Amino acid sequence: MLRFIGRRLLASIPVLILASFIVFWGVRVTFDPLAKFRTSRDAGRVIAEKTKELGLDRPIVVQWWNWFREFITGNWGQSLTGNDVKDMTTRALGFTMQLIFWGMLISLILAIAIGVYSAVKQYSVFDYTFTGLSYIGIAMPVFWFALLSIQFFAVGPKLRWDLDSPPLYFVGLHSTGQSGFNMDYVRHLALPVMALTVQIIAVWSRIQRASMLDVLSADYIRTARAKGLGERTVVFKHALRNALLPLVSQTAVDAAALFGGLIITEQIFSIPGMGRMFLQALLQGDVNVILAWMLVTAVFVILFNLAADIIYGLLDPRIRIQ
Amino acid sequence: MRSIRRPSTDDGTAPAANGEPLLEITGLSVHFPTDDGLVRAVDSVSYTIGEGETLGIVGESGSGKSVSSMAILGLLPKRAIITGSVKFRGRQLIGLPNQQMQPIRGARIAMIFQDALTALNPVYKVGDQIAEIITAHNKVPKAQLEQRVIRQLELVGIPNPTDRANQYPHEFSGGMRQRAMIAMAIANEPDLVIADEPTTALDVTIQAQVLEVMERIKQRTSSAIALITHDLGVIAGVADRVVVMYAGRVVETGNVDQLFYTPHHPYTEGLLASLPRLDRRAGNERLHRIKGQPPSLLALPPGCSFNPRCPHAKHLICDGPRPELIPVGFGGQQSACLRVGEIYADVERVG
Amino acid sequence: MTTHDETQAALELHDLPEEASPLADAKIEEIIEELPEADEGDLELVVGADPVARSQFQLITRRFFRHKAAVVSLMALIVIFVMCFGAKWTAPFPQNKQDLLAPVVGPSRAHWFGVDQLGRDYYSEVLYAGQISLKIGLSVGIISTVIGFAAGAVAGYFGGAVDNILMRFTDLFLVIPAIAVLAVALKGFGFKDITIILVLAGLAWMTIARVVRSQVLALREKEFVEAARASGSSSTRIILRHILPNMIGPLMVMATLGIAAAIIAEATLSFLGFGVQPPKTSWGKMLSDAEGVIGGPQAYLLYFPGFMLLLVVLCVNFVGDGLRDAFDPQAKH
Repeated sequence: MLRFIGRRLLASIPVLILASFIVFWGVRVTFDPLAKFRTSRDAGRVIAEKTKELGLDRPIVVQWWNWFREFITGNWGQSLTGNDVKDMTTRALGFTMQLIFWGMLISLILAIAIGVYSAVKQYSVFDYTFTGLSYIGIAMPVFWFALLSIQFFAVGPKLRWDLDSPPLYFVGLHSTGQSGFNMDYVRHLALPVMALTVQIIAVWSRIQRASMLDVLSADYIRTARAKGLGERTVVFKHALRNALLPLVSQTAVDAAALFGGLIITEQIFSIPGMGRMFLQALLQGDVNVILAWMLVTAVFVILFNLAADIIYGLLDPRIRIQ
Repeated sequence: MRSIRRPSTDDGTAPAANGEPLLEITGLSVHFPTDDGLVRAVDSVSYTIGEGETLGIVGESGSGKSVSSMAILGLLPKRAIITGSVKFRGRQLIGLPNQQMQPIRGARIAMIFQDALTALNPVYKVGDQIAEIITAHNKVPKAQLEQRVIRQLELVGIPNPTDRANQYPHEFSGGMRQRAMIAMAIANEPDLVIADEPTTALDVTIQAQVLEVMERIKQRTSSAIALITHDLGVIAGVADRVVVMYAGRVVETGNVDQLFYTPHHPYTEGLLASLPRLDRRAGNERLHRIKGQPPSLLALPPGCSFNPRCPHAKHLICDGPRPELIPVGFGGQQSACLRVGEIYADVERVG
Repeated sequence: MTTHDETQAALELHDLPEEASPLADAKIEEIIEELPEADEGDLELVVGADPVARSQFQLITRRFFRHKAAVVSLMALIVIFVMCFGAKWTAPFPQNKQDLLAPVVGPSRAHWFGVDQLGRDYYSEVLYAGQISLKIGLSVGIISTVIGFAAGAVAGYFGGAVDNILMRFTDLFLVIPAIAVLAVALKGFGFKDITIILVLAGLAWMTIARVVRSQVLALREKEFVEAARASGSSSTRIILRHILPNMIGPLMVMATLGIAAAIIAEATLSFLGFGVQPPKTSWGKMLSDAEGVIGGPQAYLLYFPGFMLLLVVLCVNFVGDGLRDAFDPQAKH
């Protein structure tokens, strides 16, 4: 197992390096580091000077290498706001991790529960209802859902019933002065996590349902019943483990999309996480922050993929023996 | 349908009195509603299996042999419409709720399936799956359990049983997997083992090994065996009695000698004739085949379902009433041929 | 036993290089020369290829029409398309007709979707905005499918280095969130309609290429491809005349999914500010403009553009479902 992990991590390194180069190149092309000098009085001379100073006349690979070398030794540079990029990122990660943790937890639990129940009770009212909801969830733009949820669960009720505060909060993760895991936190988490996960749950529950239906009609399930096992054992011991496999694969694929979804969610709910940091950096052309965000996100996606692979291997012994 | 006297086993069945068959199937029908109509997979089938007897059930694909056996254990999908009677030691199994079927499945009646690779759960070890059938019906302490599993594997001739028990199905060869399935099925010493095409997915040489295992089981245990296959050669070696099925119906039954030497149905004759045999003159004769195709189970022909392909078919006799099984001779052989008296001169019509 | 041998033989056939048998090639070429009037389709029948028969088309259409949700969705989409692209005639008010003195109120008989903060008829604005949203979505879906098929088919069919390069390249873009890549790219390249389309398509083709590649890998081993190769058909011919027709079903499904994804992507980007820029507008942009009205009496400004997005994507998904069932009724879902 350790060898497997080691091998996969090693294989990810070239991907990371290559991705960082493409990202660097893309960002360099998009954001002109000399933009602010182009309108200055002595533009020609200043530009020539700055070009040499910032090393912009060197080949792009060299430029990239200089940046990359600094980056992996922990020097992520400074943001346009003057803050240390690494500090910014670490702080932002703290918030983002909370969203991801709760988001994944709730998504997995609900998606598996809904998927399994829909499959076991196929064609029931539950099944049809959640099939319909899934279709809507998949088609619904996440940002619109977020806005509507604020309207209907927060601001709307507050105005309608003249409440002191909205039943669910939509700014940040804690009220001022509060911290820790309490009711205030939950009320802050509810809407952003809901927005983040609604589409994911819709997609994953469909996958789980389909794979459960597949597995339930498999020969080995018939054998399990023929052995005289109770239906609960058949479903939860024999069927479920096999049926989880496609979902595990899917979570790996969706890892990157999850981080993308964070951008929207954090923006709308004013959560100072990675997503919001990226958006602001993009608007300001804060290159160091953008690059840091890209790399950190890529690392996380790769780790997610690795985790999914490991879990898959734990569930399915056929993969293990390579 | 419940036994009035106290059952001696806790699954509600009573030990067979003399003469009472172990399994008695009467008028069993299994219909599947589909978009294109009602598929009559099994159409009023009757046969019996006695204690310790090996019954061969023969027929082509689609003859209903597998479906009728799965109906015994209630393993058919919910949309199947099952009517008729299946009595196991006098107890009616049709319509029995799952809760009451579970003590019987795997313990009193066990089943072996065709393709052991798909019939075994790929993510659990073989040993664990065998242990599971034991613990589902018995309380066995963990230490003993391992021993029992290994003993089962030895019984079916799997070498290195201790290692093998810790392996997964995909690490077994085809024949070994099938043997593991057999080991699993007999683990609780069932009264009846239903083997659904156990050799079909295997090479001929491996087939022989598996049949040998079944022979060994036959001798060592008192289990009855229902051996379902399309291969007459398999039947010849192992079965005591035979049931021949065609298009969801039974067309002939009898003991194995009667069927092979004195068949009394044109379909049985056709099956026998199409067996490649070494004692025929090589080069001169072509392999006999039965002309035509089995009928669609959506639209069975009126009267005898073999009628369209039968060389002896006679209009107005064979396409009229639906044939029933009638005794032929006094040895217990039965045939569902409407013209049996005319075709087979030696027959004394009984009853 | 026999099937295994047959497969083995077929596989070995496959390993023959393109210039397999010059003699065979020559003979076939002669035959082709001698059939001046013959349609190339005839040759396909001769080599035992697998053409999509005409009656199959009818079978597919009939199966599609059995899928009620798909049919209703298709009709709804047609109506929406006509209403939006024909907005010049269907919209009660001209585009961007501002009336700053008008009361900003919700839906009424005169203004079905209400009036926005600039006094414009919201219903008309939604129709006009739909032109951009739908145009971008449709174009991206089609373009990315075409490119995705080309790339995936080439990679899957030829394998080797080309395949490796494609897979590694698309792998890179799997680790970076699409939205981020799109936002950066658009900031760099500009926000013109055509740019947005090209950038979105420039990312979308990759997912399609991967799926196409795996399908082509499977189709490559089939007998009719063997036959075509043995008869000397060029690779392009084989891909276009044999492999493509057998993938039409999945391709159309992928195209619909691509359209749906593109519509949402454009809406999200425009909402964040990285998409359509004023004076142009799309449904996503309208939602961005309306973000401030949450909780107020003008909340209705949020409902309609979002609802249109939901409706269109939902319908496109249903049509995709219908297509999937029409082409492959065996697929369990």
